This record gives sequence, structure tokens and C-alpha cells, in this order.
Amino acid sequence: MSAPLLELSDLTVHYPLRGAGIFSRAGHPVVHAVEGVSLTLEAGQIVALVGESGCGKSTVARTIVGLQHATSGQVIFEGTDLTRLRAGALRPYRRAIQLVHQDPYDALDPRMTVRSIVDEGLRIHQVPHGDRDAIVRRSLERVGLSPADSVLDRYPHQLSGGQRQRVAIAAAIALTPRLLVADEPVSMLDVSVRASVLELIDDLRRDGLAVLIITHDLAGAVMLADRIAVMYFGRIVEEGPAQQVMDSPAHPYTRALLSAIPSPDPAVRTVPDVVPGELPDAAHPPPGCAFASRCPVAEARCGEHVPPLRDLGSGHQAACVLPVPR
Amino acid sequence: MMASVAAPLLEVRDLGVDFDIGRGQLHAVRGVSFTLHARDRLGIVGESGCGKSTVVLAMMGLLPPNAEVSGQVLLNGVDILAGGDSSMRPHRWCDISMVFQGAMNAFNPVRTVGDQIAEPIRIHLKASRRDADKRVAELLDMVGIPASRAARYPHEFSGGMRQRAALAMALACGPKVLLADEPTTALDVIVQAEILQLLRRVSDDLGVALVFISHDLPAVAQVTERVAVMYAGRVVEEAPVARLLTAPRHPYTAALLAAIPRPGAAATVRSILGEPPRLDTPVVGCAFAPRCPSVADICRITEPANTFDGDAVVACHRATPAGLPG
Repeated sequence: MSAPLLELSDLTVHYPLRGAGIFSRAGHPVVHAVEGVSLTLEAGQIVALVGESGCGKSTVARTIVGLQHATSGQVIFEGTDLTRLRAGALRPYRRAIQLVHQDPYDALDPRMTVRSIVDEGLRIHQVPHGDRDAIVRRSLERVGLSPADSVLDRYPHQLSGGQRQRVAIAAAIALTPRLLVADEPVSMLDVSVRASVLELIDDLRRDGLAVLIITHDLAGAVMLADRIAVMYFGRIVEEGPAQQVMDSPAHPYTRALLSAIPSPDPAVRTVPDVVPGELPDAAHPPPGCAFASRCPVAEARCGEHVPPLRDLGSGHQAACVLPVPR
Repeated sequence: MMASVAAPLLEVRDLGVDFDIGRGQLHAVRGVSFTLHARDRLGIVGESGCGKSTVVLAMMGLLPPNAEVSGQVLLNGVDILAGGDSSMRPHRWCDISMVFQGAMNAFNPVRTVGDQIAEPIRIHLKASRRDADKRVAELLDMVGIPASRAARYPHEFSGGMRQRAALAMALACGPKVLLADEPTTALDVIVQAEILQLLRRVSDDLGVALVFISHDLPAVAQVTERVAVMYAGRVVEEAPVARLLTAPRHPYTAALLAAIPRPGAAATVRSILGEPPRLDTPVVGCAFAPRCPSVADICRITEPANTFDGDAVVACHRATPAGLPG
């Protein structure tokens, strides 16, 4: 088996709390944003990282693209640990790993034309001037904005939300990355255009691109992901082949997420399978399972230790001490 | 004059909104009519820019000065739009209230949540501070927030709690009609399901009529009994929710349904191709014709009239009583 394209190994990110500035010493309170996340991504694979706001999934994305320092652990891309590289050595990897942001309304500079938005990355990465126009056009047409002439000289406000997100994706793929990290790429878009943007991302894999999709939408994730990893409170609580996670979710939190997807059948009332409760305080994580406070099946022992990921066979694992209901 | 028992609580008749945009008129809403009785729950769905938010802003008299509103909004038989802002003011918040899109981010960060919910009570109901505080405690309790949280600031609330607090504020003066504009759009799926449950309960318990606006048909189906589908400023189909979802008669409704990802179902999600029409030029024929899979010659020439069939209405040349055109 060849080495994976991306391997996160025990990745941990702590944010210092306010007051803990440059003079802070060990022992100051920190927010545990990401705690021991391990995940692999093969070339040409699509993996979805699913969870609620604040679960740490965007922090994982930001750490992979180098916008956030890892407190400990490794981000191994094509065999190189990116967390140990300095800015200069990191530069080729910044090109190989591209990020698509959640909000296409904020991510595009309103005073730049589509041409200059897509060209900007090429300029920064010193692609020869003579090649750039052709690459910009090819990228726009690759994301379905064709003919490219119809959008090249337009400004973001002249485009619909779906078109803007396509421009953002075009700017990313213009640099021929090997990995695309897409942070909630469709959550700001109308339901009616979400599917087409997801189809586009699926289609990009034919170019050999691997994609990590960060999303809170399990139903959308399963449409294109090969594997799904569910995060809760900074940790991966379940991970496995997408269809298997959907069909036989092993962690109560995954089941809660599935139960909360509104049914289009008005006769079926959606009642989320959680007990009302709040997330624990991220500065003072509980000693046991973080989901226990909202878990409908929690037992006393759930509060004792953080449950490790357990192998359930065929690459499916979950971090719950309770037996999987059939 | 006493209204008879069967008289509707709210009647919107032939509502139209044109915006003067300098270089011409933008026809945002055309000929929208619907009726609500106490406890009725109506959903309005459609893509961004279809005019659904403009409808409810017009009902609240909150459109900018360049908007020209035609038609009537009858509350207990009295047209509240007829006398301009001065005739609207006694009804706003007290009779017709609204939860705005992104309301959870609209709280003033330097005032406590309780203080902000108390404001409409003190201004509109002329309540004393003590009475207002008592009412705030009741309201918070109703939306599932411990009353002790009234003294907290918005940043101490989670997104879901702020949205609950926004709902409490909208209900502060005991309105008869509540307009909710995308109340769950930016929320996580579990929180969304909880808010949808809450909207159902509040409307049942208080007898409030609800207009629920969203681009998310399954979310609307969870709350409302009837759904109006808007396209390019016009209601193209309105029907009881079960009928609309199982036997859509307008091709646009069918296309919206086909765009919903469903867990478990095979990945057969289809986007709606193309973009909605520009609203600054008069629409010739059916506005959906350029994107419609069932388009016929007549659709490009004549705008379809409303066809009434029992408790449903559809505006499509190709619709049959049985369902979609073949």
C-alpha cells in the first residue's frame, strides 16, 4: 500500500485564553479546540469532516493549510511533516494544498474582477506571465463558467452565490493543487444550487484531486464522500466508509445528527435524538466522554474516561464504550 | 363591528412591490395573495432573490423608501398598509411581529439579553420595569432558556440560544401573526430541529399564525400546514404541505424537491440548471420557462394564470390536476 496523500497524526490545537499573551507560562488556561485527531486521505479520495459549530473542524482545516499552528501532532503531506517546515520550505505545499472558504460573499474581493481573482494565486506563485491567461480561462471553464469570456471582466456582486463559489473553486484549482480543503463550501448557497457545486467537487476528483470537505450537513456529505469522520468537541468520535456510517451509525452523536435532518415528509416529525444540554466548557474539558451531557443513552461510566476509538471492522471505528445498537 | 368567526385573521391581497432603482423599476413581488387564520402556519419557499423576504418586509411596513407597495394587507379586515407608517405603527410588533434573518446576530453586544427583550414591552405596552422583567422571565421560559440568563450578555449565549431569545423578543408584545424569515438557516442541524419544534409549539400554545420563510423545503414541511412556492416575485404554486411534497404540480416545485439530499436514498440529487430571470425587465411568458424541463411554446408567450383546484392553486400552462406535466 502506498503512503497516503495526507495523514493527520494525533493533531492537537490549543488556543490560549484571553490574558494569556506572549508572557504566558505553562499552566495558563487554554481552549482545547482540536484534541488528538488522526485522519488519512488517499489521493483522489473525498473525505468529509462533519460536526457542529465549534467542534474544531474548521481549526483542523486551517491547520492543514498552514493558517494555524499545531500545538502538537503532525500534518504529514506526501511524506513530509508540514508542522516542522519554515515559511520558505512550506511555500510549495501552500500551492499544493488549496482552501475554499465557506462564504463566497466574503471570500472574493469586491473590487477585483473574476480574472484578477483567479490570476492572483498564479501571480503569487510566479507562474510565467504568458501562461496565466490560458490557465485562468481553463480553470473557469473547468468549474462550469463557460465561456470564460462571459465572466472574466465581471465583479463578484454581478454573480450569483453559486457562481461566486465556482470562481473561488476556479482560483483554487488554477494552481493545480493535489488537495482541496473545502470549508462548508455549500452551506451559504441555496438548496437548489448546492447539488451542482457538490457535483463539481465530485467531478474534480477525476483530475486526481483529493478533497477534504468540512461540513455540518451529513446528508450532503454522504452524496460524494468516500469516508466520513464525525467530530464532537475537538475529537473524532466516529470514522468510516460514508455509506456504512450513514447506514449503521455507531456513535450516539452520529445518530443524533442523522435524527435531526428534517424529513421532507410532513407526516414524519423530526425530533432530534439528544437530551437538551450544552456543550462542555472547552477550557475545562470533562474527564469522560464530552457528549455524555447530551447523550440519550449515557451511563455513569461514560463520565470516567474519554473513550478511545474502537475498531468495528471494515475500516469503521467509533469512540463509544456502549455496544452498537442493531 | 365584530368580525364573524370564519373571518380570516390576516389576508394579503394582490401584494406587489416595485423598487425604483434609478435606471428603472425592479419588480420584486407581483400579485401575491394568501389568507391566514389563527394558528395557521404558512411556509413561503423559493431561491434567493425570489421576493419571499420582500413580502414579509412589506407586511411589516419595513421596506426602504424606494419601494412602491401595491395591494392590501388586511388584519381583521382593516388594511394596515392604507395609511402609511402612522397606521402601521400600532400594529407592528403588537399584532404582526417578525424574527429576522440572522436575528441571533442582531443583539446589541453591550446590553443584556433580558434588557433588549424588555425594550418592546416597555415601549409598546408601556409596562413598568418590574412588569417588563416579569414578562421577560415568562418569555424566556417559554422558549426554553432559564430566566436567570436574562442578565447575561449576547456573547454568553450559544447561537441556538440567541435565536431562541430573538423569538422571545418577537413574541414579547403578544402578536397574533409571527413572520419568521429564514429563522434556522445559519444553525447547526440539531439546533435547527430544536428551533423548528419550538416554532410549532409556540404557534400551537399561543394561537399565533405563522409565516415561515425558507429556501429549505424539508424545514418548512416540518412546521407549516400549507406552502407557497415563489419564483421571480410570484407565487407559482400553493397547496397543503403533504400534497405539495408528494404531488407537486409546478415543474419548479418538483425541481426544488429533486434538489434535496436525503440520507439513505441513492445520490439522485439534481440541481436546477440556469439562473432566475432578471427582475428589472418585464417577464414575458412564464418566468420559469428558460429553466423548465416541461416547457412548451405557449410558456414563452403568455404568462400562465392561477388555476384553482380545491385547496390548491398553481400557475402553469402545463400543469394537470393529477400532477406534473408529462
